[in-house]
Amino acid sequence: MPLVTSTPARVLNLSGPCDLGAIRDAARAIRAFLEQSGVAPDEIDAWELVAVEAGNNAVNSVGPNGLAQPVDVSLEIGPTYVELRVHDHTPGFELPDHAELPDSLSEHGRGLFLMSALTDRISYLRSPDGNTLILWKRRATPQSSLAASNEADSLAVASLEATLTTMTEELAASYESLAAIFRFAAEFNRSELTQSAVDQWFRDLASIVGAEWYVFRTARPEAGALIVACASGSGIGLPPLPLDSKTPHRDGLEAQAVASHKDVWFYGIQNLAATDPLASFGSPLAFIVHPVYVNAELVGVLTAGRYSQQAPFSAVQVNILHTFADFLGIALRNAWIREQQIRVRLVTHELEIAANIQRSLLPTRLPEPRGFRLAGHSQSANEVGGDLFDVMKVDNQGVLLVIADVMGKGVPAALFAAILRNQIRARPDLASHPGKFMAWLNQVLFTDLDRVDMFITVQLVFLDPEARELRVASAGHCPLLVAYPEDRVVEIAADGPPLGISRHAEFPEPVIHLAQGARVLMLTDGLTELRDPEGSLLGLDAIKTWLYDAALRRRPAAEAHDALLDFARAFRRTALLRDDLTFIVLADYPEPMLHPPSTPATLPSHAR
Amino acid sequence: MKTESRGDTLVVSGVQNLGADQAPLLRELVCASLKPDHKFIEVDLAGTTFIDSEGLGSLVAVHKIVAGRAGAVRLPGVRPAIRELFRLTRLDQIFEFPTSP
Repeated sequence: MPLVTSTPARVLNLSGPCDLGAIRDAARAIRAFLEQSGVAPDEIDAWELVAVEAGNNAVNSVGPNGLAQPVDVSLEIGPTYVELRVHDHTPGFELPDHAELPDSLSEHGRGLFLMSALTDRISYLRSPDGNTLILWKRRATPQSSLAASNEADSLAVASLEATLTTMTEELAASYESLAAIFRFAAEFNRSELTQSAVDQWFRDLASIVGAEWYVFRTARPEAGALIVACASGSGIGLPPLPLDSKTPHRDGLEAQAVASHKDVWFYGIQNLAATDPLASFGSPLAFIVHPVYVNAELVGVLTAGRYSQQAPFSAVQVNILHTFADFLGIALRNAWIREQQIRVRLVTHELEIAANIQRSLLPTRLPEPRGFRLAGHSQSANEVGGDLFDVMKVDNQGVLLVIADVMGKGVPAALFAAILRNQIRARPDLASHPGKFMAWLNQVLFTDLDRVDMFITVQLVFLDPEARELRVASAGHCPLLVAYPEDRVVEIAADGPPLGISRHAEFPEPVIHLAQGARVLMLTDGLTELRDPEGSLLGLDAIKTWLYDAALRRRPAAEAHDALLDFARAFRRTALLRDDLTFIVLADYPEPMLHPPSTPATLPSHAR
Repeated sequence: MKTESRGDTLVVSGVQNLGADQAPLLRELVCASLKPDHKFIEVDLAGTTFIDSEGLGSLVAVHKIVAGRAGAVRLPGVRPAIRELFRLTRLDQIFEFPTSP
């Protein structure tokens, strides 16, 4: 392999054809260069072997397209270290964290292990322009003992000075990066993570590593993209980088680094793809892209570079970049967690307020129509719910009973429940004709419900106490149950579609005569669909049996209310309430308690 | 690189370096020279100044040839730096290193 260029200060650059013979020649040239530079013999042996292993990999793994490309080798001998770089045109490989030895009878696979064992640090930078294997090792004996003459003595002194200079530079870089980290940590503890703190943080970083430009994006899952949080020059205007792999810009090197979880390097004579957002920084460019992950979660991606074709950063500078970026990643992650905790507390507080408001919308004292009494109950599965019950007295005519269930739970359902209650309360004139009332409610609410794909099931029951009649209208709601002590339990379905399904729906209005002793139950499906800890449903039949028993025992409304709650609790035991649960009981009054049956009632077969 | 038969041993000598370019030669030479009564293969490494992972692999291949004959590969004359390479890769457990050829 011919010597192409040799820069001063103990750097050997070689370039040769892609074959094993040229690699051996390069290794011999490296050996001679190490000997001239006063490196210890055992270290020379090791570096010769490392150079051959690295070079053999560049030759043996190359594809047909890479055969015509040269293998470039660069050796740098510092006073305290030796660094070898081998640039290949192979498809590249995944560098494991720890190189393992193969089985002792394997004929291949020891190269990476040897390189790893004989050096202190190994990294593999992959880029569209080829890949660079970097091997670094601290020298066991810094050059000094060549001296046997005055000339050699002066060489040794110069070498010692160079050693001290390099060590001072490394110490200064370490001190600067530590100081910058402390400054940032202090700023971060003093206040929230502000934009100006992050800006200053990156200016410090650029200054320490000698970056001429940089761009840092943070992952914003809610926006589905990586957004520029901090950048220099033309990086400020970079478009968001979508996190979805099917969208444009995914061919950029930032996206590649994020997808591979590994650093991506770019340098050399090639131009960036025009579609790569980083191309807006111009040309030539040399840079490193470092994806920032905290606990395997993407936090951001940092790109830092120079306007050059040369490899941009030394190993020490890359370490500083990594330290900065990873520290910032942890700070951002912690800030995000704090923000989430505050948001959860805020939402919890707001939900408590909403629950209070919703409870205040329930009737506190129910009307007492002549000859009847009412009791109602509503319980939400969450802080707020979509169930509603209301009782509205209509002057000299009777009482309108309302029960409703808005599709879904939580705040959206609660909002519609409140709207429905107010609409009903606004039209007492329609109360005595629940079928027409329901059609009007559907007209009024249809547009709003349809827009958000929601619906409400409602049951309106108008009680005329003088005539002992119920007029019933239902918009897709559970049937009304009427139990007679000597007879049976009747289901009144009165079917119409839920509100919000059909703009011009009509609702039938059957009339039921209430015989003496009847018990009426209006309910939501949260009651029939109660589950016990084993997952079994309570079901409508069990409710009908209970109601028949209540009628048989002539339970007054309040007592029936309490008994139904006890019945539901006994069934549910420790199981969670999955849905909002609401009911209204209507019973005769006054009516003296008769002797209750000694055994629980069973529903006659004809009543089921 | 040349071979010589000594009783039950095939002796390989003249190995100056055993890098990736020479490793296939060693395999081929041993396969071509091995007789049915050879149980041992002796690769004289006294003049060998360089071995890489491919070279080690070729010695493993030679070892597998005689292992089936209850034989062994002997490596006399190994220099300390190269002996260290066998230790590092734990291949010193499958080869014999006689102190004198």
